[in-house]
Order: sequence, then C-alpha cells, then structure tokens
Amino acid sequence: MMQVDRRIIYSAALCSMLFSYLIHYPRFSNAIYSDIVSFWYRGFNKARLPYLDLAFEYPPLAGFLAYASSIAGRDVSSYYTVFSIIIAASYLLLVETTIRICEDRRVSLGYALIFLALSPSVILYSIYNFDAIFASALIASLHFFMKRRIKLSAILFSIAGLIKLVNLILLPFLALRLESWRERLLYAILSLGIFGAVNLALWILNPSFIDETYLYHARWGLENAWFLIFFPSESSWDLAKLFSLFLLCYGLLKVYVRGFEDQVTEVFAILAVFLLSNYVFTPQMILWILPLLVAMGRMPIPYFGLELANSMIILLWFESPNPVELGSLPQYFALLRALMLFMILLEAYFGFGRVGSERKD
Amino acid sequence: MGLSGRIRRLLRIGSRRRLRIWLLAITLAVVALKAVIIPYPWPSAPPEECTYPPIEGAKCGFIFDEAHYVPAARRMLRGEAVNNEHPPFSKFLMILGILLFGDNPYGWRTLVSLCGAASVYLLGLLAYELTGSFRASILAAVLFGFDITSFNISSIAMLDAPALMFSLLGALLYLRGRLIPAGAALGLASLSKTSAPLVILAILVYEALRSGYGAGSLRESLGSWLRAVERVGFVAALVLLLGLGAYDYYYGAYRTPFEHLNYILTYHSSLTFSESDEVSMPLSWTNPLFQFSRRSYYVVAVSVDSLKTYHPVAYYGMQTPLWWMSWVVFAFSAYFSYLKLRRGEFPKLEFFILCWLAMNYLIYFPLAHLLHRWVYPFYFYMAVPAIAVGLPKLLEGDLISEVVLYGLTAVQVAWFLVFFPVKAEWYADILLKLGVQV
Repeated sequence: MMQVDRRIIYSAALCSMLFSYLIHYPRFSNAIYSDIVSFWYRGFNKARLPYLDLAFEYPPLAGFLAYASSIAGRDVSSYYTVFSIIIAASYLLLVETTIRICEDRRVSLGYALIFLALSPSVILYSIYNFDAIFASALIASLHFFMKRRIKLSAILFSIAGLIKLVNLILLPFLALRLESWRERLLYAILSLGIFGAVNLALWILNPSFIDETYLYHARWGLENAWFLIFFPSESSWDLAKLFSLFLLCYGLLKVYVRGFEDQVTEVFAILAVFLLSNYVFTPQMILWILPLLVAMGRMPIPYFGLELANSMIILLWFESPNPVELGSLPQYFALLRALMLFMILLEAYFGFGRVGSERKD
Repeated sequence: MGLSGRIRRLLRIGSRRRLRIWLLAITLAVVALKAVIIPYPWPSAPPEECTYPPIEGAKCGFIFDEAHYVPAARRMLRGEAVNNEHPPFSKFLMILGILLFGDNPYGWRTLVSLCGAASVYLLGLLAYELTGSFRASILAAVLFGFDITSFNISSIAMLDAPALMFSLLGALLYLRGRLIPAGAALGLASLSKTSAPLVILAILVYEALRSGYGAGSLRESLGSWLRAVERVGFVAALVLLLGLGAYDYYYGAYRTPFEHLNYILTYHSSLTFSESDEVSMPLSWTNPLFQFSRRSYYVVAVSVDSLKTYHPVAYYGMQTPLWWMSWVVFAFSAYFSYLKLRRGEFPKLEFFILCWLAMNYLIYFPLAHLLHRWVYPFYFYMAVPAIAVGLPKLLEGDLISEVVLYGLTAVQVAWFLVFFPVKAEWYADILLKLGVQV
C-alpha cells in the first residue's frame, strides 16, 4: 500500500465532508435524503426538547446534539450547517484517532485515505445521522483502551453509548481484555455509570422515555436485513426478530470462542456480526466499521462490492414504490451488501490476507 | 450341562449382539401386538364421507386425533395444503401407508405403528449407551414397550410415534458421537411433530453440561458446545426447513419455510385455556394420588345377554405404573448426580435423564401455569423414555430395590395386559374371571 501524508488524508476527508454537506443540503433541489433534515421537521424546528417534549428514538447525547444544532440554527439551513460542523469535527477526530492507531500498529496510512476519505459511504452517509459521531467516540475509546488509559476509554465508551447504544455489546469483550477484576469493575462502572445516570435522569423526568427511545426499536420492522428473503411477509417479523437475536448470540459466541489476539479485528468482527444479524441495517451503519478496516490494514476485495451496494441503497430508495419490500432494488443491494460484509468477516475470522505484507516496515 | 443351565445360558445377555437379539425379540413382540389391533376399529363409512368436516369419528373408525390427521393425509394426497399448523412428515408416512395398503386402518396406522415399535428397540440401545448395563437396557425396553398409554399413542395415526422414534435415533447417534446424522434424525423428528425440538434442546443442554464438565476454560467449553450446536442443532434446523420448504413449494402453502414456521409457532402459542376450562395440568400426569381422569380415546361397550359387559375396543390415555415413578427417577437422578459430581465423576445417565425430563415434561409446568397453554397428558409420551431408562439403572444393584424393580416391571406388564386396547371375547372372559373390570 502506498504511503500517504496525513495532510492529504485530512484534506480528502474534509472534501468528502463538504461533498456530503452539499448533496444533502436541504435548500438545494433534488437533495439526497438525510435523517438530519428529517429530524428538523419532526419537532426540532419548534425548539421542542427531545425526550421531554418530543419523542426521539436516539440516545440522550444524540438528542442533545440535534437540539443544540436547532437552537444554534434559526432555520433548516443553518440548523443543518451547525449539525454538519459538529459531524465534520467528530469525523476529523475520527480520522486523527485512526491515524494514531495506524501509526501504533505500523499500518500504512493509504488505507485511511481510501476507507475514511474516498469511500462512497463517507460521502453519502457522513452528514446524514449520528453514525460518524458515534464511530468517532467509539474508535477514540478503543484507541485509549489499547493505550491502557482505561478511565478515559470508559468515559468515551459511555459517550458512544449515549449516541448509539450499540457499542454496549462490546463491553464484555473489552472487560475480558483487562487484567484484573478491579479494572474490569472500574471500566464497567465508568462506562455504564455515566450512561445509566443520564438515562435514569431522563426516565425520572419522563416515564415514557425508555419506551419512546429504546423500546421503539423493538417495534420497528425489518429494514435492509438480508434475512428479509426468509421473512417476506410482515406478519412473520416477530419470528424474524427472534431469528435476529439468535444470530447475534451465535455470532458473538463464535467471536468469543475464536479468541482474537488482535483487538481491532475482534471489535470489527463483533460489529460486523451485529450488522449482519440485526433486523435493521441502515446504510450509514457502515461508517462504524470503516476505521476498523483501516486499522486492520487490509484491502478486502469484497469491500468494493460492499461500498457499491451500500451506496445504491440510498440512491435507489426513493425510486422504489416500497423500498423495504422483498424484490425492490434497495433490498437486492442490501442482500449483496450483506454477502460482501460476510465475506470480509470470514476473511477476518479465519485470518486470510493478514496484514503482514501490508505493513510499512 | 442341565436344562436349567442351558436356559440360563440362553437367557444370559453377555454381549451387545445378544442385547440386540433380545431387544429385537421384544420389539417383534410389540410389532405383533400392534399388528393384531391395527384393524380395530374399522370404518363403516367410506373415505369420501370422512375427509371433509363434519366428520363422525366413530363411523369413520378414527381413534382420538386420527380425526384430524387421517382426513389431513387424505386431502394432502389430493394436493391440498391442510393441517399446516403441524409439520408434515408424520402425515407423509400415513400417505405412504395409504398408497401401500389402501385407504383403511392398515394404510393409516401401519407405518406409524412400526415407528412406535422401532422406538422400543432404539430405547433399549439408548439405555445401553447411557447405563452400560445389558439388564437395565432390556428392562428399559420392556417398561417402555409395555407402557399401555405409550403403546396406544404409538399404534394410531398420530404424529407422536415417528417424532419419538427419530428423537430416540437422534439421541442414540448423538451419544455415539455421530453428531451430523444425529442432527438429521432430530430434524426428521422436528418435521414430524412440533414438540420434537424440545428433545434437541434437552440434548444441547446436556451437551452444555458435558462440555462444561472437565473443560479447561469457559472458552474451551463454549467452543466444544458450539460445535455440537452446529452439528446437531443446525443440521436439524436445516432438515426441518428443507422439509417444510419442499412441502410449501409443492403445495403452494407458504412463500418460505420460515413463514410456515411462523404460522406453526403463532398457532401453537394461541392455544390457551381460560379459567373455566378443565385442563389436566402436568402434575396430574405423574401424581398417582391425584391422577387426571382416564381419557377414552375410543371405547366400544358390548353386553352379552345382560350377563356380562366388556369393551372389545378400548383405547385409553391414562397413567401407568411407570408414570408414577417419574418423580422417584427425577429425585434419584438429582441425588446421584450430586454424589457422582462429588466423587469427581461425570453423571452421564443422571444428567441425560434430568435434561430430557426437564425439556419434555417440566417445561409444560410454566407453559400451562404461567402462559395458560393447553396441555394434554399424552404429551408425556415424549418423556416416558427417560423414566424407562432411568428406573432400572437407579434401582439396580441392591436386593430390595431390585425386588421393587422387578415387581414394578411385573405390574407394568400386568397393567398393559389389563388395558390392552383390543380384547377378544375369550380374553375378556379370562380377565373377568380374574375379577378384572374390562
């Protein structure tokens, strides 16, 4: 892999952010859909407080960021711009953290350029939802964890959980890597404590908070899940969710039993298992794994198919009468995307194409 | 060598080969008894009148739930997708029987009965795998083969006998370490009856205990367990889904086997009772003091010149002496497990029995009491093998307990003879002379 100056990566990442900002910009005609814009029209335009005056299905910090953007911006454009700045700042932090991890692992920065700046998913889905911010907090947490700065890692882990919650499945795996029970306890208390305290406070203020924010997702249907081919009728989706839970448990057990020596690969495998087993696999979720692919120092061939399929989902979404239905084009691409991600997961699981030859020593 | 010596030598079971011969003999006896009763009752109405509702069970010659499954098999033979709430394999066996022997009781019941008889043989082998005792294995086969309710359930056109036969085959193969064939057999069991996956669960729970015992670490133990889950559980699931998929494709029933499975689960979870319903709760299946009332699956009464009344055909669902021993087996298994674990020995038999009973009997307690799901005493048929395997081994060794064991086996066989479902007049006369109500 070619050697790249980090400034080129920053410039390219900024360009991608800008491009992403422009393609979703709400005042432009034919702007590509972005969740951020839809939040505005769901009540943030009236400065309603999320969780208290307004049901919001993302964890508290996500709601706070959306609210802060809506307060700072007076109309949809300025709200969108403020939100985009927050995301771009987070993303640059993500780039910086990933570069540092690469340097520690002696992985070529060329991967960072490709995965974090030039990936179509970055352009299409960074100024889109909270995923870039989530990935930034998560990777920073992982970085400090590997540096043995446990307290800082736990705090960042908690922040990630307050944005997307999903990282909680990583907690037992992280805890197992700590040497003593004291450290494990400290990590769990810090990471769950902050997360729990914020959620508890909101729950006390609004008893429906848990239902509106978290249980809401349990009622959501299948969205871009590959196993829609098994459960095409909505009437069978309760079983599909059980199937999803089973897949998740099985996948996590396999990861545990595999006993990855490399922590980055393990985190990648866990997140890939989550994405492949979850009944909702929105395209922006791919942003979570891109920095891990960088740090793994590999260029899996299926990555190109993954990116193509992931991009086509949003590009074709509004061209299909019912995009969540089996047989629609976005669902064909969702299936292809799952296949590609599965292939990358298998490569990581069995250790094919390991980083050795790709490292810059 | 004197005559008694020769007889003793003949009866001695000193090898696996001789064990198989003995088991075969018991199985053939069961086959013969089943073959004798197959044509009773014989339908008086033609199949056309017994295919679509309303169906008059007595005229059609249907015993118990045959009223559901035989018409379903007939309609499936005509290309209709029916009775989709139950998996199709047992009904396919009935269809095959109808094609071979005609649309009559021989057609409906023969293959199911053979499955029931084969279960006796497989149970004997399973008992040997678990106990390593020839005598306990023979006694297990006798106790199960001559369990009258199990005999009745496995002699009529219902789903249970094929499900149990494949379950026992799967368990046997699993214990012999042939995990993928075990998974295939358990898949066929699941394709026969919805409750068969409980056997798979029992085996996987047992495997978890086995893997956990003596493993160096949690990771090693989980790894070993996951391998078994993949080879047994996943193969079983694959066979089930392929079977359902083939059915759905041929009959145009559901778009995918998962949707069919969803219907099966939705249907079965909707079968709940209300407070006013009379339900035989699971404890009444095994408690000899508070038994569920005897179920008449099919009973014909005959009076001869007002001198005597007897039942030439009487299929009952009832407790048997073996069923009364359930809690004894359970308690002893738990106690012996504890003792063996203290000695640093893995309690193979005891854990297997406990897992089997937990998943095929105890599970009905929360289902009935908490979820109010309808439960029926004949569900215990799937649990009977665990009692039959456990009792002889647990009572073996000590003189008094062996006397109890042989006494109980004698009572079990006597119970079978008294409640044998089809009685010739001469046989009924003998029983009447002995003062037995028939």
